[in-house]
Amino acid sequence: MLKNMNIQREKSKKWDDAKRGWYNYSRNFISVMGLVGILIIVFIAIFANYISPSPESAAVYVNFDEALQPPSLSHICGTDEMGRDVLSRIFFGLRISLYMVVIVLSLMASFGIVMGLIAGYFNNSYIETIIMRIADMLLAIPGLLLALVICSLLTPNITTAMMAMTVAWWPWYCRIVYGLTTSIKGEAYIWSAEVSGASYTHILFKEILPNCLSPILTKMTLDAGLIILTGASISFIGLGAQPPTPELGSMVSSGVKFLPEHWWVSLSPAFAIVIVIMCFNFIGDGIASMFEKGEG
Amino acid sequence: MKTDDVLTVDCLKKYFIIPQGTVKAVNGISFFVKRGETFGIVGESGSGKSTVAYVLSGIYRATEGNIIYKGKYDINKNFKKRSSKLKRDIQIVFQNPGSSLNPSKRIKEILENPLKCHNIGKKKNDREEKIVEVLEMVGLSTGYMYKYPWMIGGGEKQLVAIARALILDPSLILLDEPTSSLDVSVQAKVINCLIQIQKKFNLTYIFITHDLSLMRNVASRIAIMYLGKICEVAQSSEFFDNPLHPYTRMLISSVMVVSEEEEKLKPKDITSIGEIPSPINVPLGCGFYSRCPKIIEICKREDPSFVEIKKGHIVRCHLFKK
Amino acid sequence: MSKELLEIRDLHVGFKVFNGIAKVIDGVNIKLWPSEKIGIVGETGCGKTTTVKAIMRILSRNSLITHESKILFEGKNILKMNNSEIQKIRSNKIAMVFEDPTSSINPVFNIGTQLKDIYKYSLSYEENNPGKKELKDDFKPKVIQILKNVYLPDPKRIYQSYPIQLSGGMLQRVSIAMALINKKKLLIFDEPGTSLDVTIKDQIFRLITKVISEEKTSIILISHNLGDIRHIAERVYVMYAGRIVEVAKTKEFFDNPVHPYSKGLLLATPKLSGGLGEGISGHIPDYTNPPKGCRFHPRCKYRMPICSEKKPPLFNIDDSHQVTCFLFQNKGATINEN
Repeated sequence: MLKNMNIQREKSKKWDDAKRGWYNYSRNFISVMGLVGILIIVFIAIFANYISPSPESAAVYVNFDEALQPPSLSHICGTDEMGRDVLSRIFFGLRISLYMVVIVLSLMASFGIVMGLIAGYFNNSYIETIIMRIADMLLAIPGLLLALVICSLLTPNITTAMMAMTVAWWPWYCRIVYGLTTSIKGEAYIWSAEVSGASYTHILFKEILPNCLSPILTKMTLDAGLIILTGASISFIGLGAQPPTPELGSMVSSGVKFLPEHWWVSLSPAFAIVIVIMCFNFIGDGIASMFEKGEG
Repeated sequence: MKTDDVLTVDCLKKYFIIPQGTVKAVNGISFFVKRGETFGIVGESGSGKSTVAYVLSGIYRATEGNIIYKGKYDINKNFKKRSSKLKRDIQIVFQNPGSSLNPSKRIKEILENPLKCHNIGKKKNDREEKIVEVLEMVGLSTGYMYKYPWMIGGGEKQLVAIARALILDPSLILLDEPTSSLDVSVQAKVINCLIQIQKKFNLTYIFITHDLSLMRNVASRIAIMYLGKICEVAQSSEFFDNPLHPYTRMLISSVMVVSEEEEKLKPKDITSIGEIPSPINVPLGCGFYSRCPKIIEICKREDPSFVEIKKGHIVRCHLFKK
Repeated sequence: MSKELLEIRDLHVGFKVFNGIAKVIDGVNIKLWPSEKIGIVGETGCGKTTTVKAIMRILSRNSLITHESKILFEGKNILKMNNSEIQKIRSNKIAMVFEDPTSSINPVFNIGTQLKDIYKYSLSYEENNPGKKELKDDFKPKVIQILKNVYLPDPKRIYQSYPIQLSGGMLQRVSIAMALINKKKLLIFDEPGTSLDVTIKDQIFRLITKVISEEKTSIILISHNLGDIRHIAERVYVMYAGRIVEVAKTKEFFDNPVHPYSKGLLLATPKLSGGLGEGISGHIPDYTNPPKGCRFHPRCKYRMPICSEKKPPLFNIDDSHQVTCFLFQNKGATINEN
């Protein structure tokens, strides 16, 4: 009987956590707007095939009759120099942008967090020195520059761009987590876990890491915007996505030469970039308050 | 070595090396603790009492000295190197309840972790039963299992910390100022709970605090520390009826009491002056020299050694000779 | 009867929090005469610090004080004063010494600079301001004298030191020195000595006693420790959950506390002569949804049906001993109309 009651209670308590997290998050109207925006963007990205007016625009497609048409009812964002529907290309471009965000964030954050935990927990030892000095060296090089160098050395495409960003930015996560770990390490509950005989894995991932989540998640939402922007920048220069891939940055780049008469070719994808980044930033606002603990 | 002694500490020293010099946190202390008693260590900040607890529990390794547990094991080892049984047997309750419980974990997980680390209770249900049992021991209902530490008050957090210490069935519990941050009414509940549990399971406590009135009601034998060394050890009633060391008398006379009969117990010949000197680069001679109103010539040059005044009452002061 | 120095009349303070309004202070009445020392005792969260912060008008932005609340200092209502008047009060009439000296002294300036600043500032609010030019040089000797008055060893060295170089006891003396730079009518001490060692606390209390006996200042001492209150205060106010539950002269209070909460507190205090009672079960109420009637009734052993319905008024036990508890209605105590 006791067992059943407790299992029931355990499930309902996890739901309670989610409810409380949502309550705190939703207090901030801006964050909710950001969340709605991102959900719409994700929906568009997933179902781009079905909802875009002209899915073939994303691939090799040429229709010079309709080239450079201004925004109209049939082409809401106009068409580009190849006659492709800009809006459809934006939809597919969002797919690529989100794909980049997810992959780069997961790689960058997981590697950076693990390195930071290890360096922070074993501080004042050679482990910390090795990890943090490597991180320092990478941080000394401007991120975009490093990413561009890597891309230019290897075959320029989206995968290389993602790899380059991961290498350039994991040290930021390492540093944040390092700082948090060194301060949490001295707390009594960590001592208590050590004295009880917990393994290193348990202490790092189950005791220290949950207390670092708030700043990490906030940074991740801000980084999402940065990743999109950097990916777009890399593609703008021509080192990232190659034509005809509809990547937002390369769309902006190839549309620049048509400014200012055919402004929609360049500015529509630029505007899309701005909106996506803003939505991620708005979410970041709410993440911090989501983790706030109420007063006892 | 009596088999009745749970713990015998001999010339324990713990030094920390920092850029400014050597901090002699614990500078040669020796004492013994009998089974089932509450041994109290009283002292102010800088006396080294918390460091003693951390060395005994294995958080620090002593610089010098022997710690003999149950007459057999020398436990001067870091907690990583201690045996599983030893880790279970000696538990510690920390001073600050706010930082001794992981804020991102529920009480159930906090209590379950020690069991998991020692592989006690094969099935989840066995562990749950143990958790419920230990919560009952400290007087908390099962409803607390799914709460987070920030949802409960300081006293309840400390009760959870005590439950966590009890869940591994220890023999010796080190209590480092367990109620210092609690209000008086909550403190009384926590202390009464500790006393009941001790009687029921015949536990041995080492109780550390700076609050003399509390010590009077909790400890059976009391040692007073100053600047890393023990100044006086006596049975509880003897300690307050007949305090000998000038520091002991100074400390008792500084206590703010709430009744006339307590006022009578306070020594009238000494009032507190001065401050504890820095434990870095301690000078020669008696550590209390700078504040003692009863110094004699030898106090400046030589550190006194223990003298037994009565059975069970020892004091370390040049004013008392064999 | 001489006029009161400070009178708090029907103070109600609430705080806007996310799930409503926390009605923390609920009708507090306190009187303080010149040269009198009173103590406010109560546990964490009972509202003592909030009350004195209301006097100094340093409550946080989300605080709400009702219109009927009055805090009369020398006859004038502090709550209705404008900025310059309240600044004058803060520099020249009332001073507060906070609980934790390490966080109430600015860590980036040395002690001398801070004391000089306070002194200069206070002079500009003085009645006969001699003019700014004359204030230039005279500060250092005055500041050193003030540091000597609080028994700091080697005041010249302390003048140059930064807070981090000083111990807790010394910093507490420095904060007392800051409060005493000019003669004040009222000093408020918020848990002095909580973060200090017992022997240092004893020295600080002796300093406080000496200072007030010389200057004839009034004192409000706040503490959760009954021993501290007994040491200094002449009259005791016991607070629970934002209400005053008992008022008495110190000796009368410790010989004969009448409110169940006061009795519980005194019993739970460990005695040097041996004796530790039970605690009081339960905890302080949630201020956003406080208990109806007497706020202590959920924890009270002696509660009666009326306790959960009506707020108990202040009953007179005798001239200087009052209590808010319905237990005393039956014993024929009169209601205190003041």
